[in-house]
Amino acid sequence: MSTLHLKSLEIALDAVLALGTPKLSFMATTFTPNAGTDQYFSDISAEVASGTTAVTLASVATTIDTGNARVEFDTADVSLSTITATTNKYCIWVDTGVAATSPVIATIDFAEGTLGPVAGTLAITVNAEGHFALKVT
Amino acid sequence: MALVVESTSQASVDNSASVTVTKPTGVEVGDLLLILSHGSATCTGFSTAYSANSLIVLYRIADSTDVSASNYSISHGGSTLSGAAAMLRVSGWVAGNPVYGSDSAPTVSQDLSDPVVFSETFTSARPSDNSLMIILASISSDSVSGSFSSYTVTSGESNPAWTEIIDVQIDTNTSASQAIFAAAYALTTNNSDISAWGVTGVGGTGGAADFFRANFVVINAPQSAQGTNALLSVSPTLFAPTGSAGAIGTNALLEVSPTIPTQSGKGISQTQWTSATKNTTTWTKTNKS
Repeated sequence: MSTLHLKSLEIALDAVLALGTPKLSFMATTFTPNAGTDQYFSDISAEVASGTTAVTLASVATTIDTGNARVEFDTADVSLSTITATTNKYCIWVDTGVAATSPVIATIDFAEGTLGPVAGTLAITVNAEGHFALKVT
Repeated sequence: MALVVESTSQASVDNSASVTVTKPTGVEVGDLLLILSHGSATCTGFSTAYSANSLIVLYRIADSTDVSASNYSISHGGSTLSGAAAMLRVSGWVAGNPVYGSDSAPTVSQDLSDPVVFSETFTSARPSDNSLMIILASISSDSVSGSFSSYTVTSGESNPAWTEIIDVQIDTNTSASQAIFAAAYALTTNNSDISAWGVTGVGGTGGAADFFRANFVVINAPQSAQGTNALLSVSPTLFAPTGSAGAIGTNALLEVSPTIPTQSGKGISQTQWTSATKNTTTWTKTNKS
């Protein structure tokens, strides 16, 4: 049976995260992610949802889930206060200090669709299993 | 928290440096105070929420000084340019510029007594379950009397009830020395998208053409939003290699023929010198004669 191996996936993901500070940006509803061309934060910065700012992720964790044969990426819940914005997805990226070298890792849709806080809190309750998982098969 | 217009006030004066508006009743810390006026109106402690078409909305979040204040002085940038203004005391706001959507109608110039009907296509979402809409309008001329009416907003609901706060004529010492200033608001709990707004102004004839202007502002009640994510699960694509099993491989002799380039050369023949064989004859010395 062909398979990737969990530990190496975890190490690889940790290596990317170690390039800088993992962050999250709320994206405009008009943003359509391109897995190929959206390589660095400089490629997507113009599409950040107006009225939002990047959030430094806390409790960043990469975990091997042997039962599901995958490496999970999880963080603490995220929130911004007194925000007026419209967004339906967010990007996870690593801030190296230079936008052109800060890699974008993932773009993830909100399960609820479009969120539109008005001078309120914009929050993400992260899925119990994390933001994303890399399976080995 | 829902927006509520708790109280309003208004004032007007001719050819003055400023207009003094009595504070709306019952101001409490945290209230949103709005000043609706014309031209380049300013008031100490207030920030510009929206300005276009020589019509302006100023805002301030009330603190203890507002609770104790009696009135507000609004200037229009000149010694005789004031002026008219209306104030709203709004509860339910939290912080920052409250204007969510705004629009300004193209200026209409005419010297007729016919009504000028502003009917502006404008799209604005209303994400909250209640919103405050404001229309400001003015006519400027050197000889005009008039007023505004028929405030409207088009959305998924019927036009809500509008409260006109001010509709006055003032004299200002400018080339357009007379002006009508009007402002009205409507509160609604409908959150359907807005698609148009309008107001009707009636001026007069005589002198230079009159300039009709109107602005529209939407303030949505504060609301938070919380989302969740479905786990993004990524599976790899493992490319199956081709291979064989249980066979003994052989190789055919790889025979390589060299390529030997033709060489050009030059040879020089040397004269072969050989030692002469020494004569073995025995020579006898003869005497000299």
